[in-house]
Order: sequence, then structure tokens, then C-alpha cells
Amino acid sequence: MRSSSMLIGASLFALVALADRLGAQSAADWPILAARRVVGASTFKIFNSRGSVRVVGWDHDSVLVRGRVGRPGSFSAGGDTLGLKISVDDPLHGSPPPTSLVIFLPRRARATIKAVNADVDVSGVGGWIYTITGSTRVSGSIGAMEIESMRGAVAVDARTPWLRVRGGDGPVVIRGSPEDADVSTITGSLDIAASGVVRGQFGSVSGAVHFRGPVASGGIYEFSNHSGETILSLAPDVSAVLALSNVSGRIESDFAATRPASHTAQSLRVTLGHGDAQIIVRSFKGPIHVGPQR
Amino acid sequence: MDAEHLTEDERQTMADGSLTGERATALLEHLARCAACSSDVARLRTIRARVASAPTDGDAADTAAVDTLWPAIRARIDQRKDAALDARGGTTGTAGRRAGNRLRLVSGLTAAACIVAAALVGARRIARRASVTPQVVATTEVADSVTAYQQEAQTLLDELELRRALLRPDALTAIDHDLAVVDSAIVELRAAAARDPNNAALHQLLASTYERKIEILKRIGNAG
Amino acid sequence: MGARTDDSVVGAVDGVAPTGDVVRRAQQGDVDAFEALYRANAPAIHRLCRRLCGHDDDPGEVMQDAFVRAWERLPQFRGESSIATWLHRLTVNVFLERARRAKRDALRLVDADDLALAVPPADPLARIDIDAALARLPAGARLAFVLHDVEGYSHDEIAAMTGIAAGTARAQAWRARRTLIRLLEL
Repeated sequence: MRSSSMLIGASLFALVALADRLGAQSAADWPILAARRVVGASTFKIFNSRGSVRVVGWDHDSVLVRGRVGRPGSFSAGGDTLGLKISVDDPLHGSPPPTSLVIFLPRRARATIKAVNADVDVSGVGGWIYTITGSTRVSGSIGAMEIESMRGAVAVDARTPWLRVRGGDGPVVIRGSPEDADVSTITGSLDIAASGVVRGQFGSVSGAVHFRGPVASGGIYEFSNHSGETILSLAPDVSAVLALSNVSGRIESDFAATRPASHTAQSLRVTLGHGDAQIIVRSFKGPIHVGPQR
Repeated sequence: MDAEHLTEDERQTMADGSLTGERATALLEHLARCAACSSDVARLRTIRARVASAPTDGDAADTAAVDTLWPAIRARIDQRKDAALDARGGTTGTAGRRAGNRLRLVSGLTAAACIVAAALVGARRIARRASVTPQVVATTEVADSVTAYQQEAQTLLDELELRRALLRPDALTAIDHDLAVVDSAIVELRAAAARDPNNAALHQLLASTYERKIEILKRIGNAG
Repeated sequence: MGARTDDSVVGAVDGVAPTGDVVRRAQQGDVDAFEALYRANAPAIHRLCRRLCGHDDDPGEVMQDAFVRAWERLPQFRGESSIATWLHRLTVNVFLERARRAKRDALRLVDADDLALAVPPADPLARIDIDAALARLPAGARLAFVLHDVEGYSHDEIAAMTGIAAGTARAQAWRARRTLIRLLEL
């Protein structure tokens, strides 16, 4: 399960990168659907239930929308200099044909995107993204970002001060450097290999949670899982206090304790290095494994 | 403490006085010899003392707020007293307000918050009139959280049933699937908590799992 | 430590603490008695709200919600603590509930996020005051610091109130101290 979640993560990024290249070639030829001057810190609400939504932050105080609209007359864009609503309306009956949108927004804007079954790709802009089955990809240097996806895959490779992700049964992959990260799934796997996380809350109900990478001095990392496995692969010279508890599952540590450690069948507490970070793992019955990164 | 200096843990606990006994004595001896550690601990003590004791520019705002905010607080209290009179009349009031709130739903998140507030206010008002100790919330803070989650979850589940026919089929399938997974976990956690009531980690797992359930249900508002 | 344990300071109007009779009358629905309780405690509660909220919430709204809830729950007050302590704890709970509800909406309502630490002031010679420094802390660090170092709650009490681990609360408070040292240039 450990290797499969990493394989899923790598495959996801490869597919999205391919789509990226294809998209970049064709999107420039798509017709302009809307263009408007806006103030830099505007709010944009975007709705497209099927197809794709690509949002790109740029250094202009204007918005530009290119796209291929599946159903004529379904696209609309309205608002003022403070914000815009960009919408592809669903038909009254049946499933809409896919619409592909590329939207350029000012970098300081906030994008609220409701995509349902459309795939979402956001770079350079923060905001809120909601999908049911569509995949979500976020990249670049962005503001605060919140993502909710019931079944879709989520991939974040961004620098952001605040990231919140609520996944369902799709895999979630976190890279980049979210400073404050709060990420959870229900049954989907959660794969974190990010630098710069100072405060992290990561959890799942039954999905596997795998964390790799550095921990910050003074950082706080909390992991919770009900029945999925939780695997922490830390730097060999990590400096942290580990507090691990498992109600009925096993706890394994590959670290040689350097300080006296308290241990019961259900808990393990060990100080590594100077104990500069706090790492807390709680599980009900999913196994916990901590060890040095290889 | 490593070979040369105090750890962060040791500096912080020396600064706030939570380290006592022989360990503290040993570290005090180190502080007497080590200028670097001593000055760092002093900085930590200073910042705590400054924030806790210093007068701030906001003190005038605190005093001014007393008069400014009272009218709105008084108005909200009076509303509750009026609603209590209505409820005693048996026509409108708690039950009527709850049904009315449901009919005005426009989004899962906002509407559910209104319903929970009305339900909790109504329950407390009923208890006050009856002059019995309310059974609404337990006395401990952790039990408060779990009880609040349970109430909020039930309210949102009621809303889900009301709106089930209006939701997108794929969203409904996802919600039902996720709820089944979470509910199964909650059953196991509650059984374990009943056997081991003093297990703090277990209670925190239960609270966070309930929070997951609330989050799933709040997606109803976006699933239409 | 902190105002919450010193009834002679908190809850006093012109040096006179509210009497048990005032509390009893307020519990029985006497709004004038409740107003007396309010006026005795509001400055301290508002200061608590200001320090908890930072830029993330409106201290006036938090205080309104807190006192309305205090009115509703006053019959449950049994005198195990002082009325000021009881109000402090109730206010913290109100703040935490608002913070939990607002966290999702904040992205769609608030334009800028305030999470960058130690942004240098525009004038490098300008001193940043304590409240401004507190407001710059990340919300979790500010909460743990205010509750522990200012209001005097133990880490275990903070853990029970907020649902985070005591170790997390402790680490958050430590992080806040370090950040405040940097911001206040100590």
C-alpha cells in the first residue's frame, strides 16, 4: 500500500504534466469569451460542472477567459471591477457536454471554483475549490487555499501560507511548501512530501497516510487515523518529540531511542535529537510506523 | 540538555516555571555558567511578563465597548424573552421557529448553523421554564464538543433527508459512502471509549471523526 | 496567574465585586442584574476577545455572542468558580466555535490572509505594540499563548477546551513566544 500510494502520486503528476503541455498548445487558439478590467484583489466565482477549468494567476489587473463551450449559450460572465461570476450553466435535463475554460486572473485575486465533475488546474491564485469527481491540481506561489473533493484526486505542489484539503476516496498528494497544512481524507490515500510545513494536521478514516520529509524546528505535526496505516519517514537527524498512541493496532519505530522513552503496548514516546518539533500520531487500529528516510 | 546548551524544551519550561525540583536545580546551575542560555531564558521570561502586564493602546477600547455593545446584547436577550413568552403560549416558538428555519434553507452551512442555534436555544429555554437541570450539554469541555457534534450531525442528517431528492446522484452516492465509513468508525470508537473512558487519545480521535462527519454533511449545500 | 483567578480585580465595578445576590437575580431573569454583571466584567472580557481574535474575527461580535450565551446558561452556573472565571471560559468556547465555523467561509469573504509572520513594519524604526504583535501570530499560536501565558489556563485545560493535544498547545505557546520576541525586537 505504501508503494501504491506513491505510484498513484507519481502517475497523477505525470498525467497532469502531459495535459498541461497539450493544453498550453491549444488554449491560446480558443476564442476569448470574456475580458474585463478588475481591481487586483477581486473575487471570482467560477462554475463549470463538466470538462475542465484552468485558472492562471498573472500580473495584470484584468481577467481574460478563453474557452471551448460545449453547449452554445450556456456561458455567462457578469460582475464589476470588484468581482466576476463566470458560469457554464447546466441544462435542465441530462448531462451537459464538456466545456473547457482557461481563466487568467490577477495574482492577488481569490477564485471560488465549483467544478463538480470538471477537472481543475489552478496556479498562482488562492481560493476555494469544490469537486465531486473532477481532479484538482494546484501549483505555484499562491494565497490561502481550500479544496474539497468528494471522489476526485487532489495534487498540490504549491507554496502557500495556509492549505486545507478535505478529500473523500480519491488520492491526495501534497508537495511544495504549505506552511500551515490541514489535510484529511475519508478512504483515499494521503501522500505528503513537502518542505516548509510548520504546522501540519494530516488524517484519514481508513486511507493510508504517508509523510516524508523535514520537520521544522518548533513545528507541530499531528496525524490521526482510524484504520489506515500511518507511516512517517523522517530525516535521520530529525529533532523532535514523538508521541505515538494506538488503541488496538501496532506501533513500530526504526529509530534507536536516544533518550529514555516511555512505552506501553498502546503508546510510545521518544525524544530524538533536541526534541525541537512535536510529532503526535493517534490511531485506533491502523498500524503506525516511524523510521528514518532511506 | 546536550553537551553545551539547554534544549528548547528546557529553556521554555525554565522560562514559564513549569520545570521544578531537581531537574530545575540542575538547569539553574547551567544557567549560572552559560551566558547564551541565560540570556535566552531571560528573553522568554521578559516576553511573557510584558504581554501579561503591560497596558496597551486597546484598554480604552475595552472600556468604550461596554456602553457600545450593551444595546445589541440587550436586544438579543429581549428577543429570547419574547420567544419564551410565545413558546409558553404553545403556538409559535421553538417548534414553529425550527420548522420555519428549515423552510428557509438556502445553503447547507448557514442554514444548519441557524437550526442548531435555534434548537439549542429552544432546549435551554424549555429547561429554564421547567426549572430542571438541562440535559443538553455535559459539564466537561470534551464531552461538550462531542455532544455538540452529535446535535449538529443530527440536524444536518435531517436536512440531508429533506434534500435527498434534489442532490446530484454522484454527490449523493459519495456522501452516503463516506457517511457509512465514518459511522462505522464512530461505532468502534464509542464502544472503545465506553470501555476505556480515561483514554484522552481515544476521545480526541472520536471528536475528530465526528468533525469529519460534520464536514461530509456540510457538503450538502454544494451538492445540489 | 492572569486576571481570571483574581476576583478583586476582575468583576469589580468601582472596586466593588458583584454580590451573590446580583448573580442570583440575573439567574432568575432580572435583566438589570445581568446588566450589572455585564458592566463589571465586560472590559476584561473585551480585552480577552481582542487578544484571541487578532485580525481573524471581530471582538465586539465575539463578546456579544458570549454575553448572550451567558444569559442563556446562567441558570447552569453553580458557583464552583467565580462568575468572572465562568465568563472567561464561556467566552473562550464561543470564540472557538466561531473560529471553527468561520474557517471555511473566511476564504470567500475575506480578501487578504494574515498568516505571514514577522513582516517588517513599514518604518523600521517604528515600534510595534503588543496587541499588534499578538494579532500577527498564527491563530493557533495566538490562542495557545493568550490562554496559557496571559489568561493562566494550563496546557491540559487548553487541550480539553480546544480539542488539541496538550503537547500541541504547549508547542504552539512556545512558538508564539519566539515569534513575539522577534516581532517586538527583544
